[in-house]
Amino acid sequence: MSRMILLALVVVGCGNSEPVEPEHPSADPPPSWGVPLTGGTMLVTRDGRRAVISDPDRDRIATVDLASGQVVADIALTAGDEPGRLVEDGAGRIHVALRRGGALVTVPDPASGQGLVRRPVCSEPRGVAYDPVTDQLHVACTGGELVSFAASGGDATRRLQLDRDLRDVVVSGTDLIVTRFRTAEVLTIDAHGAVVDRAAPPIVKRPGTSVGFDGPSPPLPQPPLVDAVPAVAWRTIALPDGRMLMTHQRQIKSPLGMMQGGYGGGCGTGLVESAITVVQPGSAPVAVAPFVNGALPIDIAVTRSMDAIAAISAGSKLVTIAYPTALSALDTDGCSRGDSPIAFSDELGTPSSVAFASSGALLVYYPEVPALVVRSSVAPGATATTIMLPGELGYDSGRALFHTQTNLGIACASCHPEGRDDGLVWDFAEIGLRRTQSLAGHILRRAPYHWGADMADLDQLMDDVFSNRMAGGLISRSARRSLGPWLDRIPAPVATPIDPAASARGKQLFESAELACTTCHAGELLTNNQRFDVSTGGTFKVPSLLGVGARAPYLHDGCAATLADRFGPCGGGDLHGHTSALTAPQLADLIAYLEAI
Amino acid sequence: MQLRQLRRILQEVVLAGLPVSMAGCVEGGSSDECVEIARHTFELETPAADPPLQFQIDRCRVDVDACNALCAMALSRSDLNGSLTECEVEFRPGVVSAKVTYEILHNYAGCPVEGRRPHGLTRLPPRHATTAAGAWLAEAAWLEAASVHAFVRLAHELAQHGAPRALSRGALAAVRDEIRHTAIMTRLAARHGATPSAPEVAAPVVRSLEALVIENAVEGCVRETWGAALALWQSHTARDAEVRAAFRTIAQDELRHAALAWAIDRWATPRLDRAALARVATARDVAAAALFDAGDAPALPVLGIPDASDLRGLVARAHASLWQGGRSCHA
Repeated sequence: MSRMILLALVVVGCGNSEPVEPEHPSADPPPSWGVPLTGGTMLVTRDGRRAVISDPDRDRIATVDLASGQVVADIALTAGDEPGRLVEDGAGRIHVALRRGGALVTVPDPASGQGLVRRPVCSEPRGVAYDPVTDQLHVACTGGELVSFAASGGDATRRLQLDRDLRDVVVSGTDLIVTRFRTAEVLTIDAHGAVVDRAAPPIVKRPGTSVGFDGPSPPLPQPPLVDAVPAVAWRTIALPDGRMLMTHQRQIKSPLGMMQGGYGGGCGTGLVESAITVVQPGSAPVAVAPFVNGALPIDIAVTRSMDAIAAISAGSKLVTIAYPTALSALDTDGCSRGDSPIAFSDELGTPSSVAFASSGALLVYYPEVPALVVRSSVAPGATATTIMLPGELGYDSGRALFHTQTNLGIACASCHPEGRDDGLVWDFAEIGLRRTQSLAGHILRRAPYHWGADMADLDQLMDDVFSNRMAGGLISRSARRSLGPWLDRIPAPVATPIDPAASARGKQLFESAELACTTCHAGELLTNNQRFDVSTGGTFKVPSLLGVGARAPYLHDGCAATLADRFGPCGGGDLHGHTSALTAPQLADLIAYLEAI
Repeated sequence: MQLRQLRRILQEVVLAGLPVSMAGCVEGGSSDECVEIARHTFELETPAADPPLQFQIDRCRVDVDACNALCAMALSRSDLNGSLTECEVEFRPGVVSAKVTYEILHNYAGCPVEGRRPHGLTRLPPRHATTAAGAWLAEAAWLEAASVHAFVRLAHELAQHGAPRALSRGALAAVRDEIRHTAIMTRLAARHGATPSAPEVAAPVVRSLEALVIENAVEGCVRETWGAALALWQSHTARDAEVRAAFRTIAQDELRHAALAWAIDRWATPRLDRAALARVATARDVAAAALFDAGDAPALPVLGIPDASDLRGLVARAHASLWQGGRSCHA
């Protein structure tokens, strides 16, 4: 029999004679906390003296003096602002995009945090960049707006309307490089505001077998290679040599199964993989051999001398370190991986941001504690210091479940980034094509779930999809109770009407008895949660139309690339709203309304 | 070690010891001795200088479901060896008391060894059995089902660590084998009056290559290889014809799984430093040595589980051929 070794990490003496009734852990999980992870919410100032950290979960901005390890500024924003990306201008001011606050906030003196200036930008600002030549700031928005400001202050100097779903913006000479989140597309905008180039990370090949654990057990044949297409550009940064580095996902175009492990692919992982692409202005983007260890590659950083790269995988809670050779190792299709000699966890929850100081020190931000871990370098054995940041412990087991990768190396957020959707259509072996549905916007009031309304509630969905298809194993009682309320707090995308008058006319059409849209798309959420066959290829649940403009393509199989296409051949005709008699201007008004819901 | 070589060795190991007659064996005993339940209480001082531990304490305080991670951290930082099954935490001024119950699955020679045990296998299978053979089969079915998780995880981890695709595909093929084995064992257990329970496996944790190699050495190079040998023996000796037939198939599958383990070891060990290799060797030697403790295992002739004497002989031959002398897993 095994030897029993008695050991206490710390043995505490019995000197306390006062009997004290012990406390027990709370049996009920605390209220919902935190927002979906986005990554990229930290910078180190050019002088290397300070780290500035956006805390989107607590609506705060903190400045840490790296020499002393002290928090020197703790800035409280308005509740719900959700500070995100930040940038430093030539005068040392810090500008922070408020993702839900719809504004750009300027911190004139990050050492004191005093004198904030707030400028409205758009509904959902995302990326922000600074052009030292023009002293301009450029903010990219989910709604497609690209808004420019003088860094020193004042109203917007330019406002462009580009494609929706903009993410990061990088200054490249006189051009701006803007990424789109879900498609990972790269737009080049010239000095006049024209889109002069569109590019995308290359498609690579992967073995496409869906593992599926049911059925007989013959020797597996050599699987055919299928396309792995770019998706979900979590983070794009500028490299010191003028190139850019994008950390994103790929969708492996192989059928999914609804059996245990049915979301698995031929490389032993899921049908979503983490990817790295190098973007060089004027050249085609280049896929490098994957080296990020885990799902949800939400942030990446490079040293100024480009001798080390650090990438975060929120799904595995790992920080991966790679060296410049990783950027010259091209993707060779198949399951091969790039060289990433070091991957570590600080055991402080999920990291969300990473940055390098000019000294080569590596900084990793852990939002739940909250804490900043500073490593003197990326070398093994480097000293690590944990700096506690302002704010209480952030705990939500639903959020943790949502971002934790399963045995297949995929997380809920892999297909539902930021609690929304990946914009992708998936081929299910059993039921055909299904477009990923957005979770944002009162999910708890939208049961049953899935296009077929085959999931009565989130409990069933967690068991069938997470535990079974994604091979996620057991779900704790707390996570089961917390996921729904946490998801329910994620709002639907907010759109700003481009043409309010047209949108108002479209609203009248939408609500008219003649068109009968509101027969099904009724109520606050614009759905009655029922199933109907409206001649789109089967009987499907009526989706909520909240934020519909932000989630192309449309219909269960994604057959309509745009809202205009929705009223084309695959939209179901007059069984799906009596719209065939609309004139072209009326249809344009209706679409303008839908874009603005 | 290649599949063909492994097959030849195991056939020699088994055939050399097959009994001439099995008359007079008595069925009895239980498989409970294969699993040891242990408990320990950790007294954790609130550690200002230990942010990871403080983080787990803080999480546990606000949600009892988060306490397993705290107990698991305390267990992993000690030199106690086992899988967490229960965790009870109390907070007193300045001190956190974590009562940890954990289980140690032994590798005694007569214990069920079907499949790999996944990291985080959290619960002992309840005994719903009226016979010892039923209990053995129910536990075997539970282990087979647990090994589905283990192979899924292995396939994923291999891919994460950049292993050749053939290895992760081998693990995925093993997943299907183990599902089939689970069904076979469940059916046999039912015939013998037992109902297996489903394994419960904690959410996966990120592990180093060394941790993967250690698990592979213990679970694959030793336990699955031994399991293949025992299954081969059972395919010859079980009194129950259906059991014999089942183990004919299972033995071949487990042989492939064992060969996969040795192939993984062959790929992975050059990637470890000397100190890590020593830890792998130690873990493997401990696991192999535990097989010698066959005296606790009862004979179950209906299933072909031999008596202690035959078991010792079988183990000794396997040990001499496979693991003796501190040779590396892939020597």
